[in-house]
Amino acid sequence: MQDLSKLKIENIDDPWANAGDKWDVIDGARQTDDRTLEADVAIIGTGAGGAVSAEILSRRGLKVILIEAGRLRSSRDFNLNEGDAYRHLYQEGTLRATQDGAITILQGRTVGGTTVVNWTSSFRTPEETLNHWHRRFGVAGTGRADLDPFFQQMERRLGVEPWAMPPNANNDVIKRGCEKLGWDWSVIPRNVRGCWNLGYCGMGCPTNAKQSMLVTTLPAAMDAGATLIHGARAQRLIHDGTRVSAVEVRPLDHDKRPTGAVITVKAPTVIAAGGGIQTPALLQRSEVPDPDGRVGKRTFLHVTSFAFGRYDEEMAPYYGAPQSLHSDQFTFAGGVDGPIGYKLEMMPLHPGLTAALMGGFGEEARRHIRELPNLAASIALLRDGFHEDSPGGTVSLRDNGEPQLDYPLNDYLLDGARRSLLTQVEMQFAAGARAVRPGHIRAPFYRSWAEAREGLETLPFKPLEVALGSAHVMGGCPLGDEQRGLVNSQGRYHHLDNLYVFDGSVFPTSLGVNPQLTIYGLSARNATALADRLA
Amino acid sequence: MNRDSSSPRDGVSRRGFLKLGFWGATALTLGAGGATLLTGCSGDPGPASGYQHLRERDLELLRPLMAPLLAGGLDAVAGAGPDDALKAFDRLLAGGSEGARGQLFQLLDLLQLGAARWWVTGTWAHFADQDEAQLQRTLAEWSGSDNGFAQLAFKGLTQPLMMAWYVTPDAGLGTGYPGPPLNLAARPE
Repeated sequence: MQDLSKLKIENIDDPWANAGDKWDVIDGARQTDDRTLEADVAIIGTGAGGAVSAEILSRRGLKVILIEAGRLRSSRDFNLNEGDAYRHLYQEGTLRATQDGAITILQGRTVGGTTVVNWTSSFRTPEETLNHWHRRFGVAGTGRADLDPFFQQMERRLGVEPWAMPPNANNDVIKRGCEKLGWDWSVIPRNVRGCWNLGYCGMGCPTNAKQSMLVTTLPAAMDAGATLIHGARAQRLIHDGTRVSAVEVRPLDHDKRPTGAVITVKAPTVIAAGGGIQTPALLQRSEVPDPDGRVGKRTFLHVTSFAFGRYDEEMAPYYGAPQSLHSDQFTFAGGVDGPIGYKLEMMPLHPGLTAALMGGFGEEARRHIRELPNLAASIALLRDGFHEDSPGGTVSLRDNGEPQLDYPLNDYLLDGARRSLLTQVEMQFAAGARAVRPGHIRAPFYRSWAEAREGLETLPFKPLEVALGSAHVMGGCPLGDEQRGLVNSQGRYHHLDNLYVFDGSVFPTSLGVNPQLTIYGLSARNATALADRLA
Repeated sequence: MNRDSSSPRDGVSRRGFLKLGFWGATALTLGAGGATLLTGCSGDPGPASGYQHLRERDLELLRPLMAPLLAGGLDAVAGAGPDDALKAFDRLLAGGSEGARGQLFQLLDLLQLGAARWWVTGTWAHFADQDEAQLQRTLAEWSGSDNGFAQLAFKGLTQPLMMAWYVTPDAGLGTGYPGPPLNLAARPE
């Protein structure tokens, strides 16, 4: 039996050790008095977009202030306790869901953003996707040839390489299943250096092998003189309808409640990089000019279905690189804008997430969770936003200013959920599963592919009956010309002269691949161009 | 299938949901009496002693459900009882936003009402007044309901409860998971 519980992790270099002595770090929880700070560039958010931009701009001599709602936590805090990780590192502590409760959303909320908790898969944006953006939304200068140099730059910066070690048993399901069925599969490029192959990417890497923003671009930006304000929410942009003059920031205590103080960050250039949901919500709270009412619309999720397989052999789905193999057999199978396509990957299983996703109750749920060491879990990322029947969701504000996402599930998406579950079940039986259960509240563990295929025919595909999640929030502030988008190809907001958006909210559709490298590449390209103009 | 995913037979339209918020719309379908009662108990009594978020009436409502919901999961941890699971739930809620917690509390308030319990779970009786066999039947009926609202309530309540329990290290070990490596640098919570 695989058992890493006796393994000791020690002597790990943490760039944030003694951060207060060497860098300018402001802890929101300690801010009780109003104050005003000034910078050349204010960046809201420290995830993939904000941190890459911060490094590039700081190194060009510009004074950068980073504003982050999450708190600063680093490898010294990552105790690999699942509950602590969700509570401290995720938006709404994993309670985030779409408005009708049908899609659970996993999104990071900490210094470094989702890059601190993602599973490291690093893909360049598919050409099909970029060409579609050009054709349908008038996005210019963002073809693969334009972006490839920046993808290459970020791949080098973050150590992105195809995973060289053997996949864990969970990921090997992709290889075995796809080979048997004659389907495409390949190795996932990961942003790691000296990875211990432990399996805790989703709880904050304890060895700092994952090249998240926390250990790469953020320390570099801090070295170059940036200021980090963490535990502080950007409440609104102060603007006159033409230009932004400052960001109003509300420091938060350890329970995420405002301390009552206000920090005003004045800057002639402001970059919104809070990611999908957060950036549109900030723009809505700020009542920015938005003549066509586009802010927050067309928010996409890579709506994700999943299936559990039970195997005779030990899978230990909690250990090992969480994602190392994938299949694009079905990603663009129906054309770029036909019936929804989906990418196949695996997901790691730890007890809490497994119990939550398995659903059910009582003896049956107990029986299933006790099979954890022998379970594998496949996922399918549905490529939303390419077809006219896939308009995505809409971000709006609750009375207290918090964002919420309404994402209606229609027949187009539910058909994709059904097909993607059939595919996953077929793949897992081909890989040798004894039984497979699609993520659907009425589905049992089926004993054979034939039984499952018949069973899935009779299951109702309705929201809340089919189990769906998302770890990729995209869109809501899309690239495109003025007739179709909100930001131009340089990331500048069409309706405010000095506001830029460098994050995943600028995608006009979803991607068809895990989004981090697209955000890194686009942000690197646009931040470099911005630095050229400002420095 | 409808393009609009919640059909009228689910008792509430999607648009109705969006206007009123989930549980508010439910209260309306229960009639004015339900709505009044809901308002009556929406005054904030504050968290129960030893809890950061859950209120005394939430504990009374949920305590009887813990054993039938978690089944052997509770017994697998030596000395653990329903209140340990509720404490774990309270810790999970600490990660949530005010808005997300607010929706959950609306649901818990709603389930204080006999009419709502009948509509959502198929039984009028308070969970504390049901014996174990009855609670099993209640959970079975609730989880298998065709009513979109009941499904939402079941998922909205049981998914975080299950997660909250199984993220605790002791409960996790009861699944066959050997546990995480030891990060010696990490400060304990």
